[in-house]
Amino acid sequence: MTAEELATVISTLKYNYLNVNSVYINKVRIGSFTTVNRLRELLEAVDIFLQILDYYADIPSDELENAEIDEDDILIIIAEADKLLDTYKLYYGSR
Amino acid sequence: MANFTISQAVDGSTITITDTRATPTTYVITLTTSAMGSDYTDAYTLTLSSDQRTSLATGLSLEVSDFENDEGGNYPYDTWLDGVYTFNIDRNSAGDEKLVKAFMEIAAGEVFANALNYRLYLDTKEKSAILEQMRLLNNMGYAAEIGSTTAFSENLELLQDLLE
Repeated sequence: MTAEELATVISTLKYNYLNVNSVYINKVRIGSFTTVNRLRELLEAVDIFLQILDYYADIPSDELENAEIDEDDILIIIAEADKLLDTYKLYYGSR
Repeated sequence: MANFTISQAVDGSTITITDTRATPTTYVITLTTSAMGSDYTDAYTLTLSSDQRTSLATGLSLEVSDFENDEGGNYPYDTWLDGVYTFNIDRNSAGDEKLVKAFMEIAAGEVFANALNYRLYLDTKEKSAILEQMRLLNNMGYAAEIGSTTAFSENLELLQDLLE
């Protein structure tokens, strides 16, 4: 995966994350606390994944070999984040 | 990329505009903002004096009272509220240069001041409130990164409600 491809993936995940967060904010406003608690947990998990991806994206290419995490880990994290966000995709996609 | 930068003071008292190009002969700044609500559409304008134009290279600080709307009215608040601002600069009557800028210094200051009180022994509710404020602030950073003014504004509005 090139740096450009990773940057595109991160931007897309952030976009989707903010869309789900928008659902979360609406649920907070109407006081739907069961959904709010579930959504917050999901968003916190995705936020951790995004921070990992940002960290990895910031590692200079000549130091990647020595990093604690490798591209396989990153692909797993991307899939995991995408899967979580997909849970609410139909919801925000239909707004 | 705009040829000028604009930043908000940490307490919102001023904004600083910096333009390092040659000193212009005329410089007109017009702004609109969502900071007072999305239905607020008044534009505020300032035509810089000669001294102000000279200061642009090193950073010119402007207060809200420096700007006026079409009817000569001032901006209705005494600080630069957090929110999304659209600045149009007409330099040497050469047409508008646009910069959309998100201000969040006031909310960020309050969030970090609250975070100073984070302790492991606080009850869950207090800790959750601080973490939620930090998360919303972080979301505003993501929104600014991908250029989503809508996401920025909705996170800011909820954060401001939590800070009240």
